Amino acid sequence: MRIKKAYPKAIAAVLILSSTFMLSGCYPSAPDYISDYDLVYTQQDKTYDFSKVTTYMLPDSVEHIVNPGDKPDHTYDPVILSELEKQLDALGWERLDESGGEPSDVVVLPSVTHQKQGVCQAYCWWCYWGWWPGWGYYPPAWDPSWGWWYPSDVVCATYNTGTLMVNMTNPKAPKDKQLPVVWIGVLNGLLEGGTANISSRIQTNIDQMFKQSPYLKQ
Amino acid sequence: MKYLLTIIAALTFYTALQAQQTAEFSYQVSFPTGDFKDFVSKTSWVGFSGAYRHRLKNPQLSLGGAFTWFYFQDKKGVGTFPTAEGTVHGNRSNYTNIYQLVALVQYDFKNPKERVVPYVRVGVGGAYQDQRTDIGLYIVQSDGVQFAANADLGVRFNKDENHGIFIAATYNTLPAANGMIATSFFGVKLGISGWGH
Repeated sequence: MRIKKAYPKAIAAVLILSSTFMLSGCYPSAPDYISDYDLVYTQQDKTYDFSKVTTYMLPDSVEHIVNPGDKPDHTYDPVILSELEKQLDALGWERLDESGGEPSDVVVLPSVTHQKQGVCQAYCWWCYWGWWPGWGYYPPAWDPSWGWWYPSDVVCATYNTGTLMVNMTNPKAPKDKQLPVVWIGVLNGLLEGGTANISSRIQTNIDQMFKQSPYLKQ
Repeated sequence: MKYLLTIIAALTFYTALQAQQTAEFSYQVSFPTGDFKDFVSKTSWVGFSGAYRHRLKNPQLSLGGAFTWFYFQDKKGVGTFPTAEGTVHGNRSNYTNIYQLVALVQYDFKNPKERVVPYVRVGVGGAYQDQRTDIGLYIVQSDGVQFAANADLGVRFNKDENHGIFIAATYNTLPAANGMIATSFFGVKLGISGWGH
């Protein structure tokens, strides 16, 4: 008779003890490579006709969004700018110089954040790109009260690590004191590894931004 | 919620020791179906369940409860896929933990003390599920409580009056809720059972 009771008790004991283990749950093992953490996101304004774009402007610098007192790291700016130019040229678009006297169809503005910071709606465009002289071609005269206008549901979040955000704006169609952003490309990843490795990942992922946006080339 | 489920499960098994009842422990391999298969297509090798049943006057009929934990994962790898508004490229893993507590009704097709006893079982209750997608450094999470139901068709092999093992084909379903994808899967369950008086 004793064994009759002991058996269910043993099962119950195993279950109660194992439930503690169960509650912690399971999770996938971590990725093997740093590049496995890289993420590329793109989004377009579906009402914008990219087939009419023939010219673009790209500044000679990358804007860095850092906390007060922090020094921006410009190590990767040349890689970012050269890869963006390569990809935009490959679309068949012509790069215009901001001092050339002619406005372009779109303006491509790269920004980098290195730490946790909100981007998108909370982003003060004037603080980072309002100084750019190329805006002089586009009426009306803008001031710091203006902001970006993004397509609906654009991914806006805080970024804990290195994030490159490429905004493609249509400066010819300002609306309600906002500049329409017709395309965004976001690259997020860990800023770990050697310079060559990070540069290579930046190039690969900027290339990916355009690969997954075939509507840009029409 | 999962802590509440554990407390209820612990009380259930304590109660099971106080009266004529059956306690069970089982392991289950599960195969996703339906929309859930799009989320996780891989077979799950993690599924553990504890159950207790109290025999009624008709010994072929028993009522009880079961607490089950399932884990499914599918490392999709690096790829490009659309979202509601844009396109994402990255290394993606989909996975979910399910903690399920159901009330059971079981009917044995023979006297439960015979050597081989086929049976059918139905369970209805609730579950806490935590569906997640890891992509890059981000986690997209949908979790919450949802309805849960399952059905088993199995055979128990009794070693003696008090011990047995059983094998069953089972089907689980958890409708979409709280942003979670509708979850359904077939399974093969292998377990042990014991009787108390």
